[in-house]
Order: sequence, then C-alpha cells, then structure tokens
Amino acid sequence: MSTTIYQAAQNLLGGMFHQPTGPLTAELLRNPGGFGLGQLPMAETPDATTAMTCGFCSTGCSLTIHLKDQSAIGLSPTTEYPVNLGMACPKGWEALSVLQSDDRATTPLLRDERGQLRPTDWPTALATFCQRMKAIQARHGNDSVAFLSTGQIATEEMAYLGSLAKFGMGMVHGDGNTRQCMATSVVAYKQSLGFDAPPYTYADFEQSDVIVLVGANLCIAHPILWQRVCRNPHRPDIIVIDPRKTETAMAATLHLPLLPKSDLTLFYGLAHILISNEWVDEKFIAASTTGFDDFQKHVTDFTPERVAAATGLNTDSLHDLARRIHLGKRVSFFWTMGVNQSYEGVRTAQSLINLALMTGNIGRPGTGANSITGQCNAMGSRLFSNTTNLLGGRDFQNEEHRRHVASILGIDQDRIPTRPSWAYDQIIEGILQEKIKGLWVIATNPVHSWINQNMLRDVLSRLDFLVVQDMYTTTETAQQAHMVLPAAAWGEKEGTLINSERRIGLIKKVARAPGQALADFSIFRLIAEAWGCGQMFERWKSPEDVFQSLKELSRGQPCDITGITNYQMLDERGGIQWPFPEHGGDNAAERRLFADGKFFHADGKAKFIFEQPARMPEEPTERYPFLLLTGRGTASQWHTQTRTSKSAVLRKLYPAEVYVEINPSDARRIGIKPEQRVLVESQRGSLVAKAFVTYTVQPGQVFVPMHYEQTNRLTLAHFDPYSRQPSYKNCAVAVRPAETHDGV
Amino acid sequence: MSLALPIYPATNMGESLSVPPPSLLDMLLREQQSTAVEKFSQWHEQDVAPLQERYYRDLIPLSRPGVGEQYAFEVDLDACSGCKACVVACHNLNGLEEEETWRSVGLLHGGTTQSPLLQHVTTACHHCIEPACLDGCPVKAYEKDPLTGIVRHLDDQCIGCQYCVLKCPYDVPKYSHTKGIVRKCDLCSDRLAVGEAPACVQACPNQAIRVAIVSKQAAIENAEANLFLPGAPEPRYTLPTTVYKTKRPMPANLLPADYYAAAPQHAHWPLVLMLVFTQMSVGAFVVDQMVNDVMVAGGASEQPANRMLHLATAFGLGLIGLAAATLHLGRPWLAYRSIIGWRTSWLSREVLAFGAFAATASVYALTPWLELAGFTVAPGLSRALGGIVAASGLGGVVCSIMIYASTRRAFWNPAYTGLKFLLSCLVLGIPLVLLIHLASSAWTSGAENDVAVSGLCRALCLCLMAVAMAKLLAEVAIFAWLQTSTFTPLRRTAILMSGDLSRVTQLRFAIGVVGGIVLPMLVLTHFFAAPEAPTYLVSVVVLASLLWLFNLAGETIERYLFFAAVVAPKMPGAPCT
Repeated sequence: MSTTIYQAAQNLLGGMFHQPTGPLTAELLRNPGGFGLGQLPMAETPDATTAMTCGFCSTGCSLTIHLKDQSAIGLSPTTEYPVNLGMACPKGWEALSVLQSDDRATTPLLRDERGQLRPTDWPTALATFCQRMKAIQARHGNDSVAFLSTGQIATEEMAYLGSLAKFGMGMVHGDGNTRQCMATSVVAYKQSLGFDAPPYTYADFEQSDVIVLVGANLCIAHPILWQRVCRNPHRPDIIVIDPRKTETAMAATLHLPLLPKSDLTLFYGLAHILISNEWVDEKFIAASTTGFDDFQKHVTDFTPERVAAATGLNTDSLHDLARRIHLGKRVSFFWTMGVNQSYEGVRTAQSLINLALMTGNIGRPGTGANSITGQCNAMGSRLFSNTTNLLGGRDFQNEEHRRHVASILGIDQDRIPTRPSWAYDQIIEGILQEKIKGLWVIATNPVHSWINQNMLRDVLSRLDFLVVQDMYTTTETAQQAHMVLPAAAWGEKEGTLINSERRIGLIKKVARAPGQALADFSIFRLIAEAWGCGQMFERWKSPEDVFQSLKELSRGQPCDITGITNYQMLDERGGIQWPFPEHGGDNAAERRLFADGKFFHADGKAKFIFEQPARMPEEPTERYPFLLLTGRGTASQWHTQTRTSKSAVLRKLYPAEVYVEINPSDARRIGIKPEQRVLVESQRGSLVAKAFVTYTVQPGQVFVPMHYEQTNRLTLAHFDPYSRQPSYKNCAVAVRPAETHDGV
Repeated sequence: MSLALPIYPATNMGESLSVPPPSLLDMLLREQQSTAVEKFSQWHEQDVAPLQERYYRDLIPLSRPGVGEQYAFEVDLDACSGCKACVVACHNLNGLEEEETWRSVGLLHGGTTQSPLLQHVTTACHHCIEPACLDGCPVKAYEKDPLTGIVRHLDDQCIGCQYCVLKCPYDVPKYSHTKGIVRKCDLCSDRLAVGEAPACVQACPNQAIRVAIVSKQAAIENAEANLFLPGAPEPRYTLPTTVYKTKRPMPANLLPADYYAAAPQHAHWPLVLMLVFTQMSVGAFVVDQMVNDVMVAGGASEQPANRMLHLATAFGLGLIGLAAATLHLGRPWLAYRSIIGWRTSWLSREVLAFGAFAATASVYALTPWLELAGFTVAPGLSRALGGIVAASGLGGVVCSIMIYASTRRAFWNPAYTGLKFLLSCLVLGIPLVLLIHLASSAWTSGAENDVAVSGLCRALCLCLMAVAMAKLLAEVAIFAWLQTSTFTPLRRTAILMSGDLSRVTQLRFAIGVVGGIVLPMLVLTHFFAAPEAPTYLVSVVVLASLLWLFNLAGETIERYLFFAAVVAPKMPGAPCT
C-alpha cells in the first residue's frame, strides 16, 4: 500500500517535472490518411476524397479534396493527374482557406441614401437589378447596358451569362478580363492557324530538346509548368528571352536580356538568319503554309546588325540563338504575358508562330508555338463566353452562324446581335461617351487591374448603375458599386474549366457557401426569371445541362467535344482535351494538334503574318527616364489579390507592401538606398514603394509587381490594335527618394 | 476622389415588378447549402499505400542512420525556383495553426548587371549537432534523437519561455500565443519512420529537397570550414546539418534580399521589467551593503526602522521583477520546471540564483524586524547575510547577462550586456538607497544623523553621476557603428536606434541625462546651498523621488531598446517583407 502511494507520488512529481507527451503533443500527431494520401493530421482524417481542377491559373492542376461528412476539410495535389503529377503551387495548397473570410459577400448589398452599401434580400436585389437596367435600356437603348465578365468562373456560367445578357437582356457589349491576358493569343492563332487553338500538350515540356520561353517566368507564374520542364529527361536547352533576370532566366541555359519591346524585331531577325543559312523546313512550308515568300522579303531588312542595335543583344548571340533552334530536333516556343500584354502583341505572337512554322516545329512531340494562358478558365471564355465570339468560336456577323446557334439553343434567331461586342477598352470608352450607362461586373476587379486605374475609377463613377457580382465585398470595384451580388466561390459550385492545353476539367461543390451567397449559375437563373426571359433558358437547370448544349455548339468545330458523354466521364478520365468528337475521338491522355500538318483555314494551311515593328508610344524622356515593367511578383499572389490576401500563410510569402526593383547603378545615381521608400511617378499617377535594389533589372528599367492596388495608377492605356489587349509592360516613369509628404 | 452615386432606397422596390417565384430562389438557396460530391467517383479506396511515393521514393534514404550519422535535409539550390510550395505543404500536411509555418524561403542576390544571380533558399530546422535551442531550454523540452539526430521539441514539456527562439540563430522555433508554447519542424520523423517523405519533400515540384544521411563528422568539418550557405549565420555555433548544394558559382557580393532591412524586434516587456526590477533590487542590496560598511567603519549605524524599510523595499522590488518574469511564460503555472535545465541553460541557472537571492533576502529583510521585536542579531551575522544576499543577487545578474550574451547576438555581446546590466544595478540601486535614506531621515529628522546622511547622500549622488555618465557613454558608443561601411549587425542596431526607434532613443538619453546627471546635481546643490536648513529635507525628498523615477524610467527604456534594437541572426529572407 505504502509503496503504491510512494509510486503514485513519484509519478505525480515526475510528471510535474517531466511531461514528454500529453495533449499538446497529441495535437500534432498524424494518422494514415487512407485513400493513398499518406499520413495526415489526426483531426483532418478524411472519410472520402474527390478530385477537382484548381481555380486559380490556367495550368489546370487537379487537387484531391479531403472530405469529411460531405464537406472539404483539406486538400492535396492529385498524384496521377496528367497536368500536375502530384504537385501544386502555394495558391493551390491554400485554395480552400481563402474561402473562409470575414469579407465574403453573404447577402446582396444595395447602396442606400447615405451612400453606404447595406444588406438587402434577394427579391429586392433582383427586382432592383432588373428595374434599373431596364430603365437605362428604355432611356438609352438596349446597348447602353454592358457586362464585364471573367476568366475565373465555369464555362457553363460564362455561356449562361453571355446568352442571358445578349439573347435574353438585349445587350450588345460584353467582354471579359481575359482581354487583359489572352486576347492577343486568340487573335494571333485565329489569323495564323484559322482557329484559336493552342496546339500543345504539357508533355511537350518534357519532350523538347530546345525550349524557348518568351516573356514567361514559369517559375513564378506557372510553377507546375516549370515542374514539367524540370522533368524533361533530354537535358533541354532552355532559352529565356526576357528583359529581366527572372527565376526562370536564372535556371535557363541561355538568357537573352533584350531591350523591352524589341521582341518583334528580334524574332524577325532570327527568321532572317534562319533563312540566310537555309535552316528552314522547305517541305513543311510548301505543304502546310502560305505567305512564306512575302515573309521572306519582309525579314530581308532585319539584318543581324540592325536587330542587335534594336535589341541590345550582340550579333553573336543572335547567331547562337538561331543555331540552337536549327540544331534542335524538337523545338518548342512558349510565350506568356511578356508577349500578350503588348501594343504589338499579336504580331509578336505570330512572329513566334512563324518561327515554328518555318522550322517545321509544330504538330510533333516537344514542338509548337504555344501560348501559356493566365486564368483558370481563359480558354473556356475564349470558346463559350459569347462575348467577342458567338458561342463555340463563331462570328456574330455571320448569319449562318447565328442561325445554327439559334437552332441549337431553340431561340429566335433575331435575339442574337448581328454586330460583335466592343472590347473592354471600348466599353470603358463607351461609358465616357455616355453610350454605356449600366454595367454588370462579374468576378473581376477592374478598379485594381485595369490599365491607367485613376481614369477608370473616374469613368466608373459616371455610370447610372454599377453591379458587381463577387465572392468578396471588399474588392476595389465592389466598393464602388451601387449593388453587390454575393457569389459562391470555386469549391462551392459545379462546372468545367478549360486549361492552357485545352483540357476540360471539373470543379465540384465541396464546401458550403456563406450566408445567401449563390453560385454565379444560380444568380444568372434568378436574373433570367426576374428579367422575364426565364423561358428562353428553361432547359438550363444545371451546369451539366449547359454543358450538353455546349457539346452541341462545338459539333463540327475544331473544339468539338461531342465525344464527352457527361461530367462523370470527365471525372473518370482526369480531364479531356479538346477536340474529342463523338466519332473518332483519340483517347490518349495527352494530345497535341496539327500532327497531320493541316490547319484550320479553309485551305488547310497556316499563314505567315507579319508587320513592321512600331515604337512604343511612351519612351523614357528626361523627365520620366525609366521604363516601367510590370508583372507577377510571387507564386503566392494571384492577380488583384482578392483571394490570395485572405490566406494567413500566403500573406507571409509575399511582401505586404508594393516594392520597386531597380538596378544598383541607377539607385546609386539618384541616391536611393536599399529598403528606402521611393516615389515612382508617371504622367498619370504615382505610388510610393520600397526599393529593392537588384541587378536582376537592367539599368534604365524598373519593375513593379502587378498585385498591388497602386501599380496601375502608373500604366499607360494603350492597346494592341488587333486584340485590344492592354500593353501593361511599357510606360515611362520617374523614380526618386520619397519625401514624407509623398504619402507613405 | 468623390463618388457621385445615384441614390436608391434599399427596400420597397419590388412590388410592381415581376419577382421570380419564391420557389426558385428558395430551391437555389437550399441547393447551394448541400454539397454534391457523392455523385462523383471516389478515386481511391480507403487502404491504399501513399500514392506520392512514386515521386519521393528516391528522395528519402533506404536505411536508418548508422553510428556517427544522422538524418539531414539536403537542398539542391539549383532546383529551388522560389515557388514556396514547401512552406504551404508543411503547413497543411502537418495541421499547423492558421499563421504557423515551420519552413521559409529566402532569397540571395548579387553578381553584376551583366551576370546577375538570383537564388531562392528553402530552409527549415537544421537539426544541428549542437542545437542551441536544446542547450538553452530551461525545462529540457528538446531532445536530439540519438539514432536519427532529429532535434525534437516536446510540446507538453514546454513552458513557453521562448528562450529557444532567442538562442536559435536560424529563427526556427515558432511561438504560438494561443497555445503558449513553441513548436518546430521535426523532419516529419513519424513519416520517415514509416517510409514516407516529409511534407516539404513530398511537395516540392522540382524535387529540390531530400532527406539524406550525413556523417556527423563531415557536418562538423563543413561547419568549421564555413561551407554552410552564403548569407547564413555562422555555422560553428550550432553545427547545422542541412546540406546546400549548388553547381553555380556564388559571387562574392551575394547578399540576402532582406540584408538592408532592419525592423524593430519584439520588446518582451515582462523581460524588460524583470531585468530592471531585479537589477534595482540587487543594486540596492549591494549599495546598502557598501553604505553600511562605510557607516560601520565611521562608527555610525542605521536605525532598525530605517533598515526595515530599506530591506523590505529592496526585497519587494526584487519580487516584482521575478513576478514579471513569469508573465513572459506562455504557461506560467509550470514555471517551477525551469530549474531542471541547469546543466546547460543559463535561464535555469538564473532562476536558481535569483531563487537563492530571494530566499536569503527574505531572511535578511526580516532581521530588523527581529531587532525591533527585541531579539539581538549579531552584527557579524547580519553583515554576512547581507553579503550572501548581495553575492547571490549579483550571481543572478551574471546569469541574466549570460542568458543574452550566449545568444551570440552582436548587440547582446558579453561586454555590452555585462556593462549595461551591472551598471544598471548601480544606476537603479543608488537612487533607491538615496531616496530611502533621505525619506527615513526626513521622517525621523534626527539632527545627529543629518550630517552623516548629508555626507552619505553627497557621496551617493557623485557616485550616481559617475556611473550614469559611464553608462550613457557606453550606450551612445553604438552610434560609432554608423561610420562603418559594412552592414554589420551592430550597424543595423545603430540604424534602428537612429531611425525607426529614434524617438525612443532620444527619450532614453534625455531621461538618462536628467536622472543621472541633472537631478543628482540639483540634490547636491541643495546640500551645498543650505546644509543646516531644517526644511531642506522635504524638497530634497521630492527631488530624490524624481531622481529615482527618472532613473527607473531611463533604465526601462534602455532595456526596451536592448530588446527592440537587437538584430537577430537568421537565414536569408525575402525582399521587402
């Protein structure tokens, strides 16, 4: 007895002083998670899993959602998915946490007499929406109401929105924020190849022996595509063409830091050298292309000496670059925003397409002229948003197309506008000219992201009615709206997304939306009902109903997906790339286009398209001596940060405040020390940023990431004439140490 | 910019319009709240082996470490592209708190305009051969596994003192305010034990992180040869085992992206108060002891009532200091554990020394009470006791010094810290003794004592001025580093104190000059001006109170700056964060 008491006392005292395990230790214990997931924290052991496509960028990774009692409790990247091979970037890992936020929109909001946004109920919101929009249309015409859509919602939602707005509500003008990232590639492909058809599949990253990356920082913007480059077993020659020494440039075998916006000249010069050395695929050119002779004449003037002077590169590197492309057996050309966001982006993208065509590097494994898209569903938007193109990559001005679409949708052909929509910038211009009085903004944040932001704020304030439909109430644009409609987010609704390699993937409802937030799809249904055109869309009760219509709309088009039975099939196959026609669809998990050398123009041939390069409209001057480059900052930040700023972990991974990268020689000359606050000023606006003094930017250039609200105060609103895409990456700025009164 | 917004009433809009049938809205709202995952195929059955194994199979060792070996992270810098997926995967797969991260990714940059270098560096715990966290821990909450070499933190053993946070040169242990403890990377030891890779290894898209088996001897040799990583803290201190590999030549000017950043550190207010009050208490006992020696030598002696007040005050202030220290703990009710690490931890030793100090001081403070109650305490015994109190108190202060000096932070180097803490004892102790002598003298106003007190006070004032001046000069010396060209930690401290912390710094010196020089001079002028005036005592007591308060405030601010302006060593950080 006494020994027991002694032992108990000893245990107690021992436990008082030494406690190697206990409740705190238990908090971090892990269990086998099952489902092939390996160990997971005990509290987060799932009872089921399901896979769905990520909703941030166009890479289109699959995330395995860990479920418990039918709700998401965590996620991990899907091991077998042919896109991401078991990996994800920080955004994907945090895709669920950003859904939990105090500023989620939970009810409709309406601006009251005092100018405050106040909660209201759905019936009032819907009635007000219709009454205001109809009143504007009655007074200023049907085309005085427009919409700005997004690359961030499901294809089915885009199709519903585009159809509702144009066929149901009588709008003519609607565009998407995809104008800001993808429009250039769309036009370039359409003109050159006959259809908006990025030809590649991600396996090409692994199969090339020469990879040319132009204006693309994969390491930061598309980390999972960089992963695919890293998995290339052929020790590829990786050539990065970018004014900055980016992470990707660091990892390249050759980095060419050309002068900003000299890329078009460079690629014409490259064509010149290839032709001079007879390093072209004459057989392919003859069989599959038109316009080569004119192109050959066009590039005659682009001598290495001229090109060296224009690009800041020496002639040796030009010859070296040409030789590498010539020696490569499988050369792939990839571009991202460095090309797309340019005032001559279409021609630059086409100059890359020309290089691929003339060297026969298209349609074979590891080749292609390949645009890497930005947003998760930019590709869905390109085909089915019914904005610039009529549904399914068709033309509003083509009567045959209108009749066809009308018959498939079972609507009156007269409901389809006969003129194409204004582009984004033209809609903004339309507001200024008082032609647009009502605007419906869905899942995008132009007050942050649009070029020359100060002007846009002013323009939007002129609207009679601005409706913002978003998952957060705090976006810069929502804060300026008359009405906010609360949207359910990715993960709270169903639909499909199309990634950069044309892969259609599913998103699923794995979490509950807060309050009265509704899927964009449901909001469109309610508005259709309230507007009085519900009948027209009666057959579209679920996203999958729309998907079936989209299949029909794709029949016979290059993007034919009639072979995809339903969502179930997409789910089981791990996504399916278009085309996948009902008959003769290729079942391979990774497919590319143009293996047969046939393109989508009527003659089956691709076109060489070219033009004289133009000077940038705002070159540095004595007053504004620096050229401002903008772009992505870190892999943890997404666009205007409405989502990524809601994750505590992501917030730790990027600078909280805007910063400017500047070369040490410039910094020394104007007296800027590292970490110092500096004023960056253009003719349009200014911002105060912390200086990051680094050799990765060239003298005379500065770089500011696009994710900070201030950045687009500086940018110059100018556009590619063919794609109307804004040219975000070139404007003149002045930089000087900030005084305290500069508004730190 | 003002927004000219048309105004709409928020209600009563709907009557005249065709509102959709409530059924559709209700149905959609209802549907929205049900998830619909069951209709899709579940990709994998319950009991499948980890699927990711195909990617990480070659990234973890096949065997356990042998004799003289241990597990270590191995980072292929050429493959680390800065995506930071490792940080977030570690956070998610280990179920960490909302803001908690055990891995981080920094940036090194340098080179030239023609050939710039940009190098992201992923980093977590280095599972050191001589872990400073483990050595510093007062409660033995760290263990280094003898077989695997993994440095594990025992979460339930931790009392939340955060000394490991100060000790680790790589900023590895992370304190959780909600849990009141520190947590850290354990190399996913449970995963390794069953053949799974750590979360970060599983998640790196470029396979830049692997777990290797390293020879401890090789790790020691690499650390001694400083082969760890440019821009990282000096590896000889803890002998980190992480291996950073690269084929790229590293330019000589390679610097962390946050090299020029200097942000104030956490102030640790309980520690500030703890140091100030314990040092005031110890100082008072020491000064009192010396004063008594002088008085005894001069044939005078202090009244028991006087001594009672004296010792009780000194003791009480010391207790306040010790109590303040427990406020620093995340789990203060476990404070008693803090003695068990005495073999290696200066924090344990400090607790023991101040424990002895408090115990002997309490006895010592009782002696005048005993005398008042009619007991005789042999003067020799009392003085011996006083000596022991002063000695144990000084021992505690030395431990305090070593706590900070042993972190190897430049601003906390042994000379600076020692000088500051020891002079603080005097700068705080002298005014207290002075005040009590003057106050009790005013209270009793025994004319025969006035001359002695007056002499004593003059001496104390002069001593204080000398000590305070010496201390202020020592403190101001930090600004000499502003003249140096290299961006050393001490220069950063100086930049902080003349930049972000300049207001506080100015205040510290202003108060220091007033309390250490101006007020003592005023007290002195009183004594010299009218030593025989009977009313001088009241005003001089007011002055002495001010003098005490100013020095208390001055030293408190100095100690705040001690914490706020220190530059902690760390792995290379990201730009502008």
